Amino acid sequence: MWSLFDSLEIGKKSLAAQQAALQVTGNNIANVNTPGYHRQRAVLEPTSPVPTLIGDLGTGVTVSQVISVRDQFLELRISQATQNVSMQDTMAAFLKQVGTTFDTEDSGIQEGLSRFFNSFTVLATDPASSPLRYGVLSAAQDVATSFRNTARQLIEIQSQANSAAEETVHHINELTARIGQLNTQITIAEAGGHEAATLRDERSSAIQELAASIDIHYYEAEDGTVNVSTAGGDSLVTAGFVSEVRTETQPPNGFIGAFVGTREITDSVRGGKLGGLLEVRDRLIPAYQQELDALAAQIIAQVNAAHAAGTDLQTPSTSPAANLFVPAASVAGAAAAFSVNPTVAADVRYIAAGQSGSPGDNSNALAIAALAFQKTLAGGTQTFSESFAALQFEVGTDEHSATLQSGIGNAMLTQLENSRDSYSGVSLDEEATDLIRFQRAYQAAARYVSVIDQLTEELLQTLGR
Amino acid sequence: MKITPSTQTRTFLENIYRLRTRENQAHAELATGKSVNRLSDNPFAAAQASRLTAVMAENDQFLAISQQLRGKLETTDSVLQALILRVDEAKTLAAQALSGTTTPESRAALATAIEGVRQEVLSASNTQFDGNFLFAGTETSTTPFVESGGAVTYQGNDDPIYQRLDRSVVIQSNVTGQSLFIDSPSVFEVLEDLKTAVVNNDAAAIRSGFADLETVSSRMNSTAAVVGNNIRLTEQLENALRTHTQTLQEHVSNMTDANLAKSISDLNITTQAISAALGAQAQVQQFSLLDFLR
Repeated sequence: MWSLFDSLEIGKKSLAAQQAALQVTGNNIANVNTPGYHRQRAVLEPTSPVPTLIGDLGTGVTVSQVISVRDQFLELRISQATQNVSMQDTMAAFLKQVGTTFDTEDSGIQEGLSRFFNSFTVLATDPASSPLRYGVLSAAQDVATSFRNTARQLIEIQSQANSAAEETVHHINELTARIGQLNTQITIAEAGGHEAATLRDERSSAIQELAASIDIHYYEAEDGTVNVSTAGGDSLVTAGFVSEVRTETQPPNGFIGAFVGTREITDSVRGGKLGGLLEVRDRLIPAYQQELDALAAQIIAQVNAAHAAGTDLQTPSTSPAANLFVPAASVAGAAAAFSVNPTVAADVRYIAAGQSGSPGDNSNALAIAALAFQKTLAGGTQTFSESFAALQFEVGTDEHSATLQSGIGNAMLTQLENSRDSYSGVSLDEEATDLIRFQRAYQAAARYVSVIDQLTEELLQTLGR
Repeated sequence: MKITPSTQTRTFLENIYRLRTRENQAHAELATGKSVNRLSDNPFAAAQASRLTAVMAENDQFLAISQQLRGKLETTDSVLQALILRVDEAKTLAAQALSGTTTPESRAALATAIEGVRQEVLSASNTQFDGNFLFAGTETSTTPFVESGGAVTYQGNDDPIYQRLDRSVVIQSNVTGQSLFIDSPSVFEVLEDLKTAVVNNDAAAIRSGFADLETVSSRMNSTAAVVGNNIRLTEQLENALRTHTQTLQEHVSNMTDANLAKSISDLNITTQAISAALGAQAQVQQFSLLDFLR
């Protein structure tokens, strides 16, 4: 038997359901600018019907659940794009500093080399001239200083990358700890069968932030927890359990290595900020240092050999002459240790312009000056100047490439984020439409309750006479 | 496609960042006059410019050295021309001594004149340029010719001094006193012997001296020709260096100089685009369906 009170119950349920839907809409509007927020939706379902002789009679509506609108595939692609963009952004920022170091005007190496060899050409015009010998000494000190400064700046940038890598590892550990906590909270919250949308949003944000820090793989298990591992397969988060990334200071330069458990992952990180930092610290800068050192070592060795073939202006003159530059102990570190022999710096008569000891003999000065345009490097294909220009080209290309890749990656990421917003984001137009929809439904339900109330009142008045 | 406020903001910001980057690039180009201000702007052009700038500096240095060397060669040439005149003068004096009409007095006068020539040659042989003796070989700080008891001894050496004029050209920049004055027949000995022969009225010795002076004169003329050639070579190389530097400068300019008209145009376009984007964003953000709900 169906009563008016059952009809009132339908009205009440409808009012409650529309009000709940309005609340969800309100919450969406409130979070329109909340980063990482996924639009929520009230799922309206009819309540169980009552079987009657004439068939099932509906009993109204209820909000079965509030779900957040999310596309796991898009989230995954965004996390992959974020890893790439973050790595390229980081590399571009650091390579910009490296590029400045190698800029022609800032580095001074190209100009220094030019001045140094030209100073010997000038000395050849008057080999015994004291002012011209001081000119050679000054140019030699300038070129040595330029190499040392560039080498020092590279080491500084490398150290900055190392410090930033250490901070990034701390941040990674904070994020994995947070994801582990959220996994636990979500498991508890969803035990009742309802989605913990806010917690999931928070976890999604943490995962994206983690992807910006390191290249990761992740997947959602059936229990709703997310398992995160490095791209190399080392687990970082499994449900509520977290494996910290450890750092250890390593020889020879005291830079940190990253470990998960006992396994070192330093060389396998290929994305995120940490990937960019390690790429700059461990591959790009060492490559530049190696080439700069090789160039410095060659200049030192060739100039010293040519200088030793000469005779100085001391009384009595000595041959072979002293080294002009302090010989490099090894190729590695040659640029950082580039310096003029203190003996020569203290007395320019040690500069060997000739080979016979005669004051007018300029043969050795000419021989040293000629080193400038002898192709002795890169298998006899490059001069010193060309070798440095090739290094400048390499540095410029790396920075250009990282900046270009960063731009392309950012454009792709923006596109993906726009796609996600299109699906999961809050549109005020859409919410306003829902607002109208639920408002009208609420108004209709209220009107329905009013009608039932009138019917009830009429019945009571009729029967009460 | 659903456009959310976040989408609008993100797209707007990305566009603005891109426009600001272009605006910044145009600003930098106008401020410096260069389109390549960093290695990454155009790595190939930047590296080429770096290498070519070093070559231009090298050329400038060669040019300066060539000009200085030309001064030395011109001084050497003028000394050689003066020496040739002096030797010719000595030849004239020898011819007079052979005329057959000389008296002891006139022969004494001729001998004095020959001694005068010898002294002038000795003085010229010790000429300095920029504080260095021209004819001393590489012993440039030692007076090369010293007279003692009527004999002139050479204190220098026979070593050449070379100078590089560009990457491929090296020339000898000195004339050694040994080859010019000392090697047989030595001008000093010839003049000394001629003087004695004139005083003694020794016709055979005077003829022999005359012939030796011909040899000395010929040697000096040959040397002057070599020096003259080297002077012309320096002039030619200076012109070549200037042309080369100018070509390189143009090449570097083509690669790295900003096209100012384009930079100004870019700046105007980006400034207008930024203004339009800001205005549009302000308009777009004003309205949503909520504004029309009562």
